[in-house]
Amino acid sequence: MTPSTTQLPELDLDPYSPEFLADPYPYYAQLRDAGPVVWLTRYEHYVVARHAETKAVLDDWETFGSTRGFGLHDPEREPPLLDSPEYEPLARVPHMNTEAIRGLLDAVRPDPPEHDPIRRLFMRMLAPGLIRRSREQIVGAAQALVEKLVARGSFDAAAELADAFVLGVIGDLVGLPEQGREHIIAYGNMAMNTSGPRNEVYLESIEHAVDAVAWVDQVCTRDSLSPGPIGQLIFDAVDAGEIEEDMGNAFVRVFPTAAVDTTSSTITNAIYNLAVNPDQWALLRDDPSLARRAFQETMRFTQAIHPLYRTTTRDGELAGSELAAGIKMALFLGSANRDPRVFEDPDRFEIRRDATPQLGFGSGIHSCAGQTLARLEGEAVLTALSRRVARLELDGEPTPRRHNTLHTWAHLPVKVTGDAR
Amino acid sequence: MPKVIYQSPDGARTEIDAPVGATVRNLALANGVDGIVGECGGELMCASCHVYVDEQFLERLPPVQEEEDEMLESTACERLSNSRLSCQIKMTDELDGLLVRLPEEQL
Ligand code: HEM
Ligand code: FES
Repeated sequence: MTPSTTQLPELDLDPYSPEFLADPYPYYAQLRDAGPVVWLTRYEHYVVARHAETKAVLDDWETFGSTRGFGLHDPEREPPLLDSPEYEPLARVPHMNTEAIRGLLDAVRPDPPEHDPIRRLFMRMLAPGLIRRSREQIVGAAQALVEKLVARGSFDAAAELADAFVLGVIGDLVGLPEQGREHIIAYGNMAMNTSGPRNEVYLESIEHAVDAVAWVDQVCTRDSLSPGPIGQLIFDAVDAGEIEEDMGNAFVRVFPTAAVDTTSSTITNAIYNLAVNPDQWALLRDDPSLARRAFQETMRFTQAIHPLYRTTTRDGELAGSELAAGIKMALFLGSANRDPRVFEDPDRFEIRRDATPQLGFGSGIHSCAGQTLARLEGEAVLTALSRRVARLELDGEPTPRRHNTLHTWAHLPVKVTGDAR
Repeated sequence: MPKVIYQSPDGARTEIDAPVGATVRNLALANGVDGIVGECGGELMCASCHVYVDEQFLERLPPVQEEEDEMLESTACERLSNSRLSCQIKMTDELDGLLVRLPEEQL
């Protein structure tokens, strides 16, 4: 332990224990109450769980860097994950793009100045004005899928609705081949599970991703993509000499990693929240224009990503606590989003509230570049449901997704009664 | 306390007392003024807090920075020479009476 941490409140919690993963919210309250910065004895790093300090950390990349990864693993202190024995299964992948997989697993990300041109391209290819041009297509896809599922009366809102819808949208926007898109689920599953400790889900996620890694390697190149608005934009930037061909391929990989699991988990969480809060479902049904607010409130109330890391780049101070350089810091966005200092009655799901201060898309220079797209997808599904369904209920117990980072359901069986409107 | 006036597309005006330092986006949301969505929370990520600033106030505002300029390219209604993102407009005493016109659409 470093000397400057002695004054910090200490807790011996394991954010990756089955109890914590199953229901993190009581632990979040404990972390928030303990102080603005807490020392986690088990992993020997800082934790920030209140809203104000979480935002302050995200907004100060110079002190809280991302170059040592947004996961628990610290590539500066430990060998690259790909070189550890746990990654043996990936040796079965023929012609693996080792460089790309190494970066993916270590979850390293540049800060400025290297980050600046990358960020500019992210923002350009995901700009709200550009995403709006795909609006009709995305809304239409949601309506068609909802129509088909509602006709059946009951379905799995996680796998059959959220996952299937998001895979279709992202696949088409990027121009990924239709054959094999389901591999993206296993790929993303590994990418985010491996930001946690090397437990059972972690190891399983690697084993399950072998075929997916091979597929992603093969399709995330210019020659394999069919015309899709975003894929096109990326390789236009290569042709214009703005980025290297390799960087173009890396940009395509951002989609299987960042755009699918995150969004489908949030849509799944939204449907769950609405199914178990009939009063809120009634509000949405009566006024489908609340769909975007319902999505925003879901981001706040059941944030899909837990936790996210930074590393202190220098000695510093946060909310009166002294911090030492070179130490990981866990940020729990889902905790910040339930901070009673910012949100009234934070443990209630209320789709009409103004949830815009929620930090589920991060903040600052790394904040989610895909948020307009994610919101549009969420709006499309929730609007389609609210227009077609009178009653929305759980149809048996949902199965939680066992996952180190994502907080959502693997299966969410729902029963719906159609609406003749 | 300075005031800010929101004018909706049908011409109706709402006048709000504005503490110095508050943004035009936050004031609208806090006071239930319709027509500003501002979904990203003021982070220059959504362009859904677009307003048309009355010409007489335009040069009293700090100039448009690069990131706002880029995001203004994404507004749902046409960008005009007096277009600004209201999350970037902080109230000052000098801006007392600031008139902003709301666009037809934000998304
Ligand atoms: C509801 C769904 C989503 C959630 C909850 C989410 C969440 C996040 C969060 C929390 C961050 C910040 C990470 C950090 O600060 O370390 C982030 C960054 C990012 N997200 Fe999302 N995201 C979602 C959807 C998407 C989509 C659809 C895309 C489209 C490609 C996307 C692309 C990105 C990119 C490129 C970054 C990194 C930006 C940078 O480092 O400059 N995300 N996202
Ligand atoms: S509130 Fe999103 S850009 Fe102003």
